[in-house]
Amino acid sequence: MLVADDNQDGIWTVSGLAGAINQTLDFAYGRILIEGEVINLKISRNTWVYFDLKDEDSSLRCFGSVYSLTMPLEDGMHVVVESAPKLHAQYGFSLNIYNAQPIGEGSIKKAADITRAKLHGEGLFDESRKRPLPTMPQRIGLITSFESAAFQDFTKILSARWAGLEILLYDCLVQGLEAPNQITKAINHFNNLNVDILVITRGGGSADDLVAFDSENVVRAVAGSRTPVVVAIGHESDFTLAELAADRRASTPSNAAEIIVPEKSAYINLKRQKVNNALHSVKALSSRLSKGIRSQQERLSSSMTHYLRIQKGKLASKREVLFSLNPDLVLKRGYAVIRSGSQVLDTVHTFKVGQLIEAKLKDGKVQAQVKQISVE
Amino acid sequence: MSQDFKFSEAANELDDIIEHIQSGELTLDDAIKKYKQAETLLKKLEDYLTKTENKLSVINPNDKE
Repeated sequence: MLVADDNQDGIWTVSGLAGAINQTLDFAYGRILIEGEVINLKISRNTWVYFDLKDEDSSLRCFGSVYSLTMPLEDGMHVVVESAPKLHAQYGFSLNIYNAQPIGEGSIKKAADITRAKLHGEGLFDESRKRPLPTMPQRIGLITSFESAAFQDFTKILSARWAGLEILLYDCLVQGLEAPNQITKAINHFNNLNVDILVITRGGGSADDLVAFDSENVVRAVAGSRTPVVVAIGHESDFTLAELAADRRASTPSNAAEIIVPEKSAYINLKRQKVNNALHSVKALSSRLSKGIRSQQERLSSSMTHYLRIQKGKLASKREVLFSLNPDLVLKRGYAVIRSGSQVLDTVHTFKVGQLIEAKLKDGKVQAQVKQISVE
Repeated sequence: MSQDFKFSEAANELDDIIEHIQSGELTLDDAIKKYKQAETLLKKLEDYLTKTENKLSVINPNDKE
């Protein structure tokens, strides 16, 4: 039999017993995970949440802050609750809730649909909000579990494709009740660092494994990230809300690596092609200049030929004039030139009677003396 | 490869040089000089991608709290 420690008569006070029971509950259970169906859900003043958690045979009252919920709850949902059993002095026994997450595909889908409708209304999934990814990221913030295959796949493909990258891994849980808080903290952490891009990734799994990526806090952190975000969850159907809010979705961790960096051989080949094109431009310039010089030579040669032809024509014409003026031609037609010494006597006034003169004819010269002069 | 080598800056410089050559504004001598620079830069980029490794640092959330 337990003995009351505050009353020597062995009789408990109500508060004393309630305190002792709470100490026992805390010692025996602390925080526990408990699974059940939500019924009688009530939210008071948008601050407090009350519901009963039941299974086939039992039902327990639950109480907590709405801020502790990472997903919306509804009557009929199956949930796992992180809670501490408490005996309240006034309200009796209940579970103090620290976290709650839907379990099972149906409940998760229902919770995700509620969150989706709410955040869609706020425009968090709008295409217009999505930013282009940096073309050549240098520092990559990676959010995943260090132990996961997703981490191995992502970093392996990244190293095969590109070099000189700085990868900062925030090693965090990507499933379970604590995952939403850790992922949200990781996003906020990277937003205070100078990284070029954020990649949040994990492999595929059941709806329960992926439920953290439908958490409102995670989705808001993704949408509100200052750094562009790629979310890569290894599954093809039923996208999580974090994927819808991301700037870019990738189908797998490997696909995320393929999206964010180019492949180095293809990149170098493309650059080499451009350099080759530049070489063609240089060759074309050289060829154009050579053609220009040849063309100028041809034009010069052509104009010289033309000039010479004109000069030749002019010369021929002058030659003809000169030829027509040749006095021998006049002599041949029967005329004579009469001189006295070196003076040509071309008028009767230059003659004197008795003067000795010389007449030049076409075939010789005649010496003669002037006998008479008559003027006509 | 020098630690000071900035890949993206070198890649942008290469693009600028190629664009300059193809603009048709250069003399033949300058175009040939620029082409030689482009070849050198391309080689540096290729060496960087072949010889440089990626670096990983791990942040543990428990260290941050």
